[in-house]
Amino acid sequence: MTFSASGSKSGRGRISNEVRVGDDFSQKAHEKKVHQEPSKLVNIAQRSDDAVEKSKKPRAIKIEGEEQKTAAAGDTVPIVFCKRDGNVGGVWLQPPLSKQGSYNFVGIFLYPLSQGEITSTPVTTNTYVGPDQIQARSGTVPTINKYYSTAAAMASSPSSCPITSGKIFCDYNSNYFIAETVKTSGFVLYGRDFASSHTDNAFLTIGSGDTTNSVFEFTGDNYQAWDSVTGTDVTATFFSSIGVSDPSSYIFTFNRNPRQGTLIGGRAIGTIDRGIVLAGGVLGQLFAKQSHAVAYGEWGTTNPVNEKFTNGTVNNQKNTSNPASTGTLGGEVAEYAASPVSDPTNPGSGFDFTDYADITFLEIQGNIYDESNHDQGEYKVSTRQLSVYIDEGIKVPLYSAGTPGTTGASNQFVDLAMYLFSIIKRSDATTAAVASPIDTSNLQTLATFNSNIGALFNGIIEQSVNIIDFVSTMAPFFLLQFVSENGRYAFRPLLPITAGNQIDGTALTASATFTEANILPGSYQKQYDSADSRRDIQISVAFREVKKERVGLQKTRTVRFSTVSNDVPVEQIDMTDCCTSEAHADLYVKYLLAKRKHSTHSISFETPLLTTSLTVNDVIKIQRQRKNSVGDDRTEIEHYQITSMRHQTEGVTVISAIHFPLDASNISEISNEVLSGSFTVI
Amino acid sequence: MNDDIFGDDFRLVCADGVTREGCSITISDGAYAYLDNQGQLLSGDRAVTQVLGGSFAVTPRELATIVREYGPLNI
Repeated sequence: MTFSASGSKSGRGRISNEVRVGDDFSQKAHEKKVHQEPSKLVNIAQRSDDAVEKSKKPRAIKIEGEEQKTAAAGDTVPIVFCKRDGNVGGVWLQPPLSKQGSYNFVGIFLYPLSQGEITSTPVTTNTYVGPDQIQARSGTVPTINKYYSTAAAMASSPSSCPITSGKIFCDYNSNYFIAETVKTSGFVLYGRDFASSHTDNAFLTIGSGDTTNSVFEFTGDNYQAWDSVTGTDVTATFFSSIGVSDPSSYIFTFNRNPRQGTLIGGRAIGTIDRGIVLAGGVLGQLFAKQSHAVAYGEWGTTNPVNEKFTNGTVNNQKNTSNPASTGTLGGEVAEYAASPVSDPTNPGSGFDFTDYADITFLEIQGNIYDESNHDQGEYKVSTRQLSVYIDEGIKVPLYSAGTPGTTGASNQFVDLAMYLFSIIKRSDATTAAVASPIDTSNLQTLATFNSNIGALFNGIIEQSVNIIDFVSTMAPFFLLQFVSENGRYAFRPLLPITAGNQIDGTALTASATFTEANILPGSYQKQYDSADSRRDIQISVAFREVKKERVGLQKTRTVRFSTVSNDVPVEQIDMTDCCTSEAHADLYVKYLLAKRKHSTHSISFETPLLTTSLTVNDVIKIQRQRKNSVGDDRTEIEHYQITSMRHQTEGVTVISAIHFPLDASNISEISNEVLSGSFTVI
Repeated sequence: MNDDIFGDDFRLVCADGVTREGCSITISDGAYAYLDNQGQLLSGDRAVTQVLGGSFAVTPRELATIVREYGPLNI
């Protein structure tokens, strides 16, 4: 994940605005329609982040599955933050593929899962390739490994690759990989870099039935070679160099058993013929480097040479002393190794793999390839999109438990916020609370509140975000507000809460009362919400379904007051970044609807400089005397919730607040509606 | 010698005037040599005088490696 700390709202007494649904969004949408937005420059990572098809969150599953996404250098690594609690939470993640190999013809796949150390290890029953559970794949069940190394560990040993399977490597120049497949319709054998790489070669026979006397044959006149750099045809040079005057009289054979020596016949299906083993070595060892002047000298070039074979045939009785084999020889698949060092599992001190630090990687070993018709020489190495269930996400300091010195998986929004601030070095668990730029004194209380109301964060942060913007935007989903007060940030509940950390549905007492005596003359302003924001609506909220037994997808709930008809306009809320619970989604929408219904206006006024502990989201009482020329003289009392306080140098405090009505029993109408209102949910 | 066979099905004309089929090409005493279909070295009055064709067991690159060590095949 990449972050920017710029643009943060800070400064004494300045309060971040709450997120409102409605006018602001529609106005921005209108502006976009009438003004052509300039393209984003020099920011391909952001454009990539913004592409919905690159999202790591499952949205819809095709029957045949989506093709696996691949990661590009510079892509944002997501943060997987979750912890399953009962039947709620965890996340399904569709990671991109960052590296793929084939080790002894077993597919090796490496996926970056998350920044940070993911706590749980995925299992084959909760991991899917396209629509298929990995556990259900034919043949040997693929294995899953998880790798992580801290930034500190990597800093002390930069050349130690965290991926320790020995089958896929941190160095991008080291790999075992599938290349060409020999088949009758022809194939191209691309030149390899023998000068820079230690190498190996191996060939797997594919097809069906008995092929023990079957080989592929290509005559010399169906062979063409060219310099891979210049394109010069070097076929004639090759035959001249090796002393073959009539290439059409000679045949190149593939799948011969053995590769060299007294003929037995052809190799059986599934046989692996490995070069280093034939040379007396073992799997994992590599041949020495070789200059191109030597390796390609017979072709008269010092560049790698590409070779094309066409019009092949299968000879099912290569050894005429034995009966013809009866199976189908479909192909001979090549697997090559390349590494700049002789032992890629221990590359030595000249390498720096610290860009692998603090990222959890998932490795799958096994054949999760797309289905191939081996009889036709198919050997697909493409895969369908991986979907993996994460039960417990990254380890973070547990402020929610009152133990920030210990780490573990969490589903508490306050823990996520503190973790994000720790990434940009704005907070760490060892800093004394008083010195922290964020007020940590109420985090455990708010976490308990979030647990009590079922507002838990289970999600994937997959875009580069401004942390202040992110936290401010997401906080209301947890009925919290992220505010700046007294020189540092703090979280406050959007609704009054009880001593037991529940939404308070009992009588409230205002934190302060303002009258004509302490409202500066001429400063009081009242602004009613627009008619558009007052009309009846229903809200469709998107969230993520998470069940262990199937890939979780995006779902929606539509909530309206029971007294409202079902054809009223629909507004949409996106909680897919954080919410995996219907109850959580419902709760937030109920809050929005209740606030829309009961809170009709906002006010602002000035008062002599306040030195009390009054703060944002506190409920205040405004009592004003209303007199007019026709004898109207009455007391108006309304309650408000403070949205901002600004202390000015001339000794004045400016307060802005939204209407927060209490009923005759001094119970919050909004809270009461959230707790006891009648809603229709579909 | 048989372990070094790198070609089969060679058709050869020998000094005795016989055209032999199913022969092999191998390395013997640091030089190319041919074996008849019984695996016997073709030499002396059966020495190969002309090579009409055959199947290389190895790839062009592997063949180039052999030629690099033992010289052009001249066939």
